[in-house]
Amino acid sequence: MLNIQSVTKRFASGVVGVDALSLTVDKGVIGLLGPNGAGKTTLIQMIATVTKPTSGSITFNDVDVLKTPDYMRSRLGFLPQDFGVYDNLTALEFLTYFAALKGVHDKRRIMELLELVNLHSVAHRIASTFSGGMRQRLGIAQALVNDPDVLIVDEPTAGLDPEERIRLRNVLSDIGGGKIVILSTHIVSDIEAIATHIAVMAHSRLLAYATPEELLSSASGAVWEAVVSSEDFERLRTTLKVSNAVRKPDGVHIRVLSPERPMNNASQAEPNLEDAFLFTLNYRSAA
Amino acid sequence: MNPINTTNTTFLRIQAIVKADFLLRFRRTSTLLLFVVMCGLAYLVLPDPTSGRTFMKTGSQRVFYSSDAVAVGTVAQFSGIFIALFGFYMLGSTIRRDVDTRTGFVLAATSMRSWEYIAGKFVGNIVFLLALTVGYVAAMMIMYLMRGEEALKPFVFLKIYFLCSFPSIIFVSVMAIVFETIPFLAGKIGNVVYFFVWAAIMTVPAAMGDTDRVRDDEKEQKPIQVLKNEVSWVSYLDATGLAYCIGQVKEQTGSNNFSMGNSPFDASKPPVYMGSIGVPAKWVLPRFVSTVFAMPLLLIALAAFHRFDPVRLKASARQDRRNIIAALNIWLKPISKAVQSLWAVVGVIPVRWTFARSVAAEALMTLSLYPVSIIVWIAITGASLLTPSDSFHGAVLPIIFCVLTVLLADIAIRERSKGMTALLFTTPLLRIHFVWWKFASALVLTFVFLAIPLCRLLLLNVSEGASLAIGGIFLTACAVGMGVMTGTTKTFIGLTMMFFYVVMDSHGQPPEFDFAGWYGTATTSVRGMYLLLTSGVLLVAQVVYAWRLRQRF
Repeated sequence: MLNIQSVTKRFASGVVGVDALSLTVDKGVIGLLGPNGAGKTTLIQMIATVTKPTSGSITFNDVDVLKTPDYMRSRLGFLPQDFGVYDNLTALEFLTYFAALKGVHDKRRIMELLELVNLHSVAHRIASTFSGGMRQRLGIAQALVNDPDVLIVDEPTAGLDPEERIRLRNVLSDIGGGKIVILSTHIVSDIEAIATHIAVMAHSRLLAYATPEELLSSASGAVWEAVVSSEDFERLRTTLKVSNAVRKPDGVHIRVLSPERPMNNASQAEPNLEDAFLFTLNYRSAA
Repeated sequence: MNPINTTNTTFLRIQAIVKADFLLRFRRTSTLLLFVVMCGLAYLVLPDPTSGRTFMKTGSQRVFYSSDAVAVGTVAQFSGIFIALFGFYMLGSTIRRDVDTRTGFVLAATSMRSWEYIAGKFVGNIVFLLALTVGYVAAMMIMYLMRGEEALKPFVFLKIYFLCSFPSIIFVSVMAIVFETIPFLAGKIGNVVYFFVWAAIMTVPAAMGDTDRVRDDEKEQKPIQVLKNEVSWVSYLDATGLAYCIGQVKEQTGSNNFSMGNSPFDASKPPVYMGSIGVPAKWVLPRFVSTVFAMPLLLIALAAFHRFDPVRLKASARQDRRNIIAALNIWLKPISKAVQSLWAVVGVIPVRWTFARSVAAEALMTLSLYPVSIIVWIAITGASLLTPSDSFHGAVLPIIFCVLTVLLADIAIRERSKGMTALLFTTPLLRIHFVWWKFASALVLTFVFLAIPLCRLLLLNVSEGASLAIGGIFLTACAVGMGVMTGTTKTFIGLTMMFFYVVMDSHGQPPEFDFAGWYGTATTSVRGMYLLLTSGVLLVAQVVYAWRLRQRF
């Protein structure tokens, strides 16, 4: 169990990256959702022992991670944001390098991982010639090489095409069982199908931590659908929280987030995770 | 999946870092080119004595081509210049690479210790330079088989090269890491600072260690047995091995009057035979101390190492910006407004002259980026107008070229280092004519700085003015060419500073070194030679650029 208690990260400039955040995480896939600049990466870097919090505590299996970072490090797999590869190493060499640094010297394990991420056929190709999706999959492989108890992936789908995103999502879903997987993203669809819990962050603070169902029910009764004219839409989108809009021959079909009926012709709709996320961002204060 | 066993041993982690660095370095085309250059160097360093030139002479007599003589006569240049100077620039920014690829964050999240990382990088540097040394010794032995005058003694070569080059390798490997981990030394300033560190470590032990230096008029008469050849305290800092080599040659030849390096000799005199070069007891400790004295500096590197902590990385970036030049640039930023008004010039250029507009824009961009250059330009202009002729040639012109070296160093790599290449290529013509665009805009800057000195020289002596102009063009071509080929400022700054050192040391003799009319000795053929070199550098840069363009885009 990963326990984060009142963790704050204040930078030298005075900017607060994470503000008094508390969270207890058990096995499963945790989607860390939040807009850009919410503090997701800073939180992840603190959990990954890359940087230390200014105050607060982080424990894993009741071991203080800040005092004994190696306990966490030996059980951790980490894929940072915008992960790159070296210019002249093959996928196999690249993975072998990280495996050695993590104390893994089993070549079978390395080949198995390349198979898991479907890169075994290009194992001897220079990794810098890979597409973005292939590089991310190689990044996942290096994160898994020591069979970690905690896997942290930061914005793994950024810059990937839809097909690669689905492929990466499936890989993460497959390995999620029995581990803590923390997946940071600002794209709801990345975690919609695989997250067992969702943490929503904004302005350095944790707004919600709940199961997808709980998050959906929190937005229940606050999602509305209506058909409006193009002229009305232009006016309404500045005054209401419009979560989606589709132009059709009979007008613009909009989804609006509002605790009360926003207009006379609006009818209630079932919230989806995107609605619940936006509702949390706009109508909930820090948890 | 099978259960996995992990063994966290320091040795295996360091080995992994060393292996990765080795593979990364040895798969670069530039490393292959380096080996080719080294073979060429071996060919030049050991000339055929029948050509009238030799690698070492005492007085005007050449030294007999024995294994001991050839090894001791060639190792000083190799370890002193190739390893100690170029080695620093060749090692590159290996820690920076882990930051740029963000793999450093993954490394930081493993149980690898910071000291293991530093040790891995240090050993990786040693392995790379050692491999280069082995390659060079092999090339030198092959040359010896062709030109030697007695049987090859491979162990003699290995012994002497090890004694001199290994301390040099250790020194450079340490300095490369120290300079990279200390933020304000990690950039262009560090590249320049290292040059002075190298100049000190190269020359001070050799000069101060020469304890039995005699006056010129005594040189020929001094009997061999009078030479004490004692080991001075500075010989303990003789990382390049130059003082050791000088000491050994003096002992063997019994003369202070000798020179190392490719030079002509008097063929009418018989060659001087040098005996076996060993390690006399008095040199054992100095050689050992010379090998290890820099190593404690790794503790500074360890203390300064950020372990990829984003907070420390940001602080490092801020500190980097706090170096003197960066601070001056920030402080003088309002001066950039003066340059802003010059942007109107770009507007005056007809739209159809896209290339000319791009050249003007790029030159103005450089001045805007470095407002301190405007102040320097004012100072240079004043100095060019006011200084007397002697100081103008020997001091003002070299200073202008040093300023230009720093100003032009990153002009060809700016977009590449900031990831803006693709954006740049959307501008008409620049994709195809990148090298010529960079060269033309750099040339504009060069002539902005050289305008007043050039006018002054042209009024005094047209040929000296021509030399200065050609020297400026040559320097510009080198900045652009080396930037395009290497993607870093290190090679250009390192080579140029060393070239300036040689030029200033030569005082215009032979005239081939007077590349920019600093000493007024350059002839028409010298000027022609530098124009030819300029064309060659640009041509090679264009070929390399076109090849890369085809590979990557």
